Formats: sequence, structure tokens, C-alpha cells
Amino acid sequence: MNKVRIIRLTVLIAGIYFVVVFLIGGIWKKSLDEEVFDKVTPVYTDVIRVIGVFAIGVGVVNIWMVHTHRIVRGRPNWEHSIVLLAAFCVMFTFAILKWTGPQPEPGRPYEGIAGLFDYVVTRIMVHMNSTIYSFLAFFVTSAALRAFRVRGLESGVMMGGAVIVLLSMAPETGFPFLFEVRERLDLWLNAAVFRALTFGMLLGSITVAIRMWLGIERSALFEAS
Amino acid sequence: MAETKRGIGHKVFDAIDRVNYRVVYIALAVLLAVPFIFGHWEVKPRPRAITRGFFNAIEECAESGKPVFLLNTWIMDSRGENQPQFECLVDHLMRRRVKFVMLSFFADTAIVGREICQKTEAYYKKLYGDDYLQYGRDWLMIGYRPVYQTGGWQTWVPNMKTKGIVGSFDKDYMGHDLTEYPIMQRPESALQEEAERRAKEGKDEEPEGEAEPYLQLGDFGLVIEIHYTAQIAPVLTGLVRLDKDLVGLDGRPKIEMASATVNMVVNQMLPYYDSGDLCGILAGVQGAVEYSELLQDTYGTGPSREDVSRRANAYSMGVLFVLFVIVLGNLSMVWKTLHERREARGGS
Repeated sequence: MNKVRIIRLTVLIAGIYFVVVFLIGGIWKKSLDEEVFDKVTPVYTDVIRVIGVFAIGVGVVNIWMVHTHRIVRGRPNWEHSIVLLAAFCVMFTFAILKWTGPQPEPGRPYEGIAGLFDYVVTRIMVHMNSTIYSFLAFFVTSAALRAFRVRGLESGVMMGGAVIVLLSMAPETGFPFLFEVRERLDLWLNAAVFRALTFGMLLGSITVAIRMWLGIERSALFEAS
Repeated sequence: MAETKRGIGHKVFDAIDRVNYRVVYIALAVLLAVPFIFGHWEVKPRPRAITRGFFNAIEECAESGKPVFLLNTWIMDSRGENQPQFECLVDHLMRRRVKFVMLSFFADTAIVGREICQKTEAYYKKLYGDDYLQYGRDWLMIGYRPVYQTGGWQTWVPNMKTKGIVGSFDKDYMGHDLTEYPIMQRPESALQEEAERRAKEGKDEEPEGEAEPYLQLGDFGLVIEIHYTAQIAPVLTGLVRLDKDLVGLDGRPKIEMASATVNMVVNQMLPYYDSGDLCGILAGVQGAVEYSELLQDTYGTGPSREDVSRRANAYSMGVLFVLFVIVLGNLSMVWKTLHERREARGGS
């Protein structure tokens, strides 16, 4: 049996199990749920977790292979790779120190060398992550000046809605009626539109899932092999 | 000659159109920094129904004594919006001494969340004495579990149903057995409820073996998810819907569920609120400031108030500046269009 058939068969069997659990579990016979599904499902999900853990290992190996090659061969931006691998080693060491160092009382913060990991996370990593994401605010503001223009009826309607929502987001403006308008826009128009969108997306997901389950979908994995 | 016809207005709008993006960035940065440098100011938002629903659900837990399950699925990228929400919620839970069990799907969120809980706990201990709150009795942190990276919700949700919390996670963030903590013991009322349910189903009065002694999903009064993407959101409903015992005859979940999320995702959560699956939503910083207002009105100032107000002020400044530049850009466009038309007609 070739690889493609093994993958297709595994996907098919796995899919059948979950279809059975969802369709007849708890409805047909309660005992079936308690005796079979409740015992098989944890084993099943543990297998998926083990596969997931392998993926983390593969990711770590991959990072080291890619970046050591870049450094050794002096490819462009090799300096960045040194920083990345150094940060990796530092965090790895701090994590081990946290694990093996003096443990505080439950619910108390880690201190001393055991607290280095938490210190780096809360004082450096957290702020770097937040900073990167906050750049979006600057890009959006710049775009607002140059691109958010009312050039017709459609863009006018969108802009009207946007202005109401934006004004209602700043309580300092002191337009209490805007909160009412926004609440109605949210719960009447937005909820309805997003429900319709969700139905559409889920129908699409079901279609793709069935195609993958039955092996009709020519995914990248099948094509590659 | 054409140059001389162009007035001051044209020059101003021309300059606005050609303004360097760095100027816009600096102006925004200065405005956002104002509340952090010169101090915050109090605002009086009108809490929306979605925020009130959230607040009332926690109040009901405080009345009934049922614990809350807090899922921290936000990340540091969305910290600006999710952190004030988290601060408000922990403030409310600890102030009302509602027991809560917290779980994080991301490593940094687990640490930041724990620090906020510890600070809030210290604040109330200082106020009401050391016995007011206690880790393991009133709150518990399971810690970071790489659910997202190891198979996703598909593995975690069924496990919660079949093994319960203790069976699914075993230990807290420090590696202590969950069974050691009093908060994980099933409340007497929950055991009674289960006995009544079994009797109703016609099962033997004494269940086979011993009744489950540790906290089960159905024992929680409220499941809260603080998240940054709608992909995670269906976990809330999926978690409950997978367990048929937790869904009523009308198809609605028997456990209250609430979502705190960023403004961008709120629209995708509203259908769940509209259908009754969610009892409340906290929408971005605005939701947090509305929640803080409810806390302030009901119980007075707490440890979360200042930080939430400061972030809300910065957010308002940013929003108003975006509005300002939109208006400016459109005025410039209108002015130029009118001017070009006038020029085409040969007018002055």
C-alpha cells in the first residue's frame, strides 16, 4: 500500500469515528456513550496530541538547521540568526532554571534565578510583542488620511457607519444617542450579516471537510507524493 | 498665472495631501502618550446590554457560590484591549470572592495573567486581611497548556467531557496535583444536583462506584473566554454542546458563557449573543471601561480602575485622531474637486 492510500485510509477511519460520535453519541444509547466513546475518545485525542508534540520538535530542529546554515555560510542577515539562536538558548536556560530552581509557595511569584524566565517574559517579550502589533494603529491612521475618501453613495454609507461607531467608541465626545444607534447597528444589522456570513463559511468548511475525508480533495500533501 | 489664483485654502489642503507619513505617526504617538504622561481622566460611558449581561452573570455566580472557568486565550499582540478586560474581570471575581479556575493557551499570557491575579489578590488582602483570598481555595491557575500547538481544541474539548478538569490537566502551573486544592473539590450542591438527576433518570439511587469527587464542567456557573480571534470562540459553545447533559431541551447551553474579545472580533461574536449562547460580551477597551464603570457604580474604586481608564483615554484619543484625519482628507478632496470644476469652467 503506498503512502497516499495509508493517509487516505487513516483520514477516512478517523472521520468515521467522529461522525459516529457526533451523530449517535448520547442520542441512540446513553450506555454506548459511557461504555465506548468516553473510553475511546481520550486515547484517540492523546494520539493526536503526540503527533502535535512531534510537530513542535520538528519546528525546533528546523529553526536550528535553517539558522545555523545561514550563519555558517554568511548569507544575508546572518546577524539576525545569531540573535535568534542566542535568544533561544537564553530562554531555554532560564526555563530550566525556573524548573529546577527554588520553588515559591503556591500562588506566590517566582524569585531569584527561578524568576528570570518570568522577568524576561513580562519585562521584555510582552512589550516587544505589543509594540509590533501596535504599529497597525499608525498604518491605519496614515491610510485614513490618504485613502478613506467618500467618492460615492456606497463609500458614503460605509463612512457614515464608521463615523457613528468611531464616535461611540470615544465617550469623551458626549453623544449619548450614538451609543443607542451603535447598539442597534450591532445587534440588528451586524449580527444578521455575520450570521449569514458564518453560515456561508461553515457550509464551505463542511464541503472541504467532506472532500478531504473522502480523499477527493487534491491537497498539497497528495500532490507532492 | 494659475499659481497666483490658488488661495491659501488650496495651499493648506495641498500640504495636507502631501504631508509626510512620519508627521502623522508622531502626532498619533504624542496623543496616545498623553494619558500615560499627564495622567488619566475619568469618563462616563453608558454600559451596553452586552456588558451588563456579563456583569450580571458574575454577580449570579457570587450569589449561587458556583465557580467560574476562565479561559485565557488572548495573546500579547492584543494586550491593549484584552488586558484591561482581564484586569476588570479578575477585580470583580476577587472582590466578590467568586471562585475561579484559570487556564491559558499561550505561555506569555499565563505569566502576565498570573501577575495580575497576584497583584489584585495582594490589593484585597491588604484591604480585608490575609484570609480574604487564598490561592487554591478561591482561585487556581492551571497555567499554560499548549493546547493550540498539540492538536487544537479537537483534542481538548472531548477530554474535558470525558475526564473532567482534574483528569485532563492533572497539575497546576507549579506542578502540584490539582486534587490537593480545596477549590477542585466538588461543591456539596453539585453532588446533590447529580444525585437528583440520576434519580430522575430512573438510575439506581446509589451510583455505581463513587460519585466523581472533583470539579466537573457542569459544576461551573460561568465559562469566560478572553480571546483575540473568532476561531477560538466556538470552543465556548463546542465545549458545552459536546456534553449532551449540558444542553437544555431548547438547545441552549445550561452553563452561562461569556466572551471578552477585541473590537475587531466582536461583530463575529454578536450572533452568539443574539441567539442566547453567550450571556454577555466585553467589546474591546470600550467594553472594559463600561465594565469598570459598572464596578465603580456598584462597589467603588478597585485596583483595575486606573489602568483601564488610562488605556481607555489613550484609545479615545487615537479614535478621535483617526476621525480627524478622515475629515481632513475628505475636506481636501472636496475642496480640490470644487476648485478643479471652477477652473474647468474658467472661473476664478
